[in-house]
Amino acid sequence: MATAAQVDAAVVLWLNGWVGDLPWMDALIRLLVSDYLAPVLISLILLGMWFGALDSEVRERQQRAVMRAMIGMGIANLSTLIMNQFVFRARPFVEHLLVVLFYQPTDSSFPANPAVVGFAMAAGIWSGHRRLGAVAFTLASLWGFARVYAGVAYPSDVLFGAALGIAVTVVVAAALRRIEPLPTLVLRLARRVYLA
Amino acid sequence: MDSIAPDYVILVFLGSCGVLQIAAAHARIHGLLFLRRPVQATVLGVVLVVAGLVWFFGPGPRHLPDTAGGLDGNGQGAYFALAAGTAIAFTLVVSSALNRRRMAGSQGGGSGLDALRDTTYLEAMSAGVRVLWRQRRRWTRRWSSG
Repeated sequence: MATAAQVDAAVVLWLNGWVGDLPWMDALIRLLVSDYLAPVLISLILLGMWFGALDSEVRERQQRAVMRAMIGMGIANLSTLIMNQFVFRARPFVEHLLVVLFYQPTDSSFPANPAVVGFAMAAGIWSGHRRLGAVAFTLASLWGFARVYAGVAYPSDVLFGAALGIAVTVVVAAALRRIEPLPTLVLRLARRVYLA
Repeated sequence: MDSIAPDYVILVFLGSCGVLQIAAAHARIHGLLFLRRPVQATVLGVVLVVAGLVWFFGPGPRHLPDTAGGLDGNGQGAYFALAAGTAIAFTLVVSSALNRRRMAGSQGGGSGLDALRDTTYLEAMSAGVRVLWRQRRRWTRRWSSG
């Protein structure tokens, strides 16, 4: 356990040690670490998936994936909230001398909520469209990497968050299959008003 | 303390309008396009998405905690739903107005979004309501005649 924490700290210290050496990298990380860029882009991918398919069979597959992603994201977010009631890990900048490229969050570092949310949505997108899923996973990974580089999360926070987000979406996918025909009825209703 | 919420809503609204144009052009849903040709609509969509991002991130990276005007996860979700919903409504109404004359009279075969390949949203909805109204009258007659 102590070794894992040491590796975590070593990675953060090594990555954050680059801050100031590469100004373009710092500027890019400041953008990527934002609370808004990655989640908005991934959410826009979901919106595009809902409307953008050439035939109705593919569209329905994509729309089911959007449902999985949205419900997965909501439940993954809730899981983090519940977990934070029992587990608290101080942020890396509290325990080490780091140059922070972000505001200083006061909530628990573990699990990294951006990774939980980003990977939950990406897993849902992947289940309906491989190429867009790869884009979403890349965005979620960059978001997680930026959090570590900026000194606000440990690598293990991001890795656990990613695993949690993906796992929740996989469980949601299975649950949605179990509650059929409810998802089909939602799609049919949306089709009635020309929105699916 | 100024909230970031209005700027965030504009970012999502512009992005959603842009993505809807790109998606509708890709799916050949002509009834949702603002411009006649799918290529033009795709370009417009990309411009809208980029404009939203430049508008929001142009002044800086916007690193604000939710205690100082930033948005927490729930706030982001709510404002995203509001802005994306408004963008969808805006797209449906504006595309219907812009394509009204060009698509007048076409029936719009297929169901759901497929119907909007050759008719507008408002045209499709009013046709749907007319069908429902006729069915309702038929049912009323059948139930009241017995």
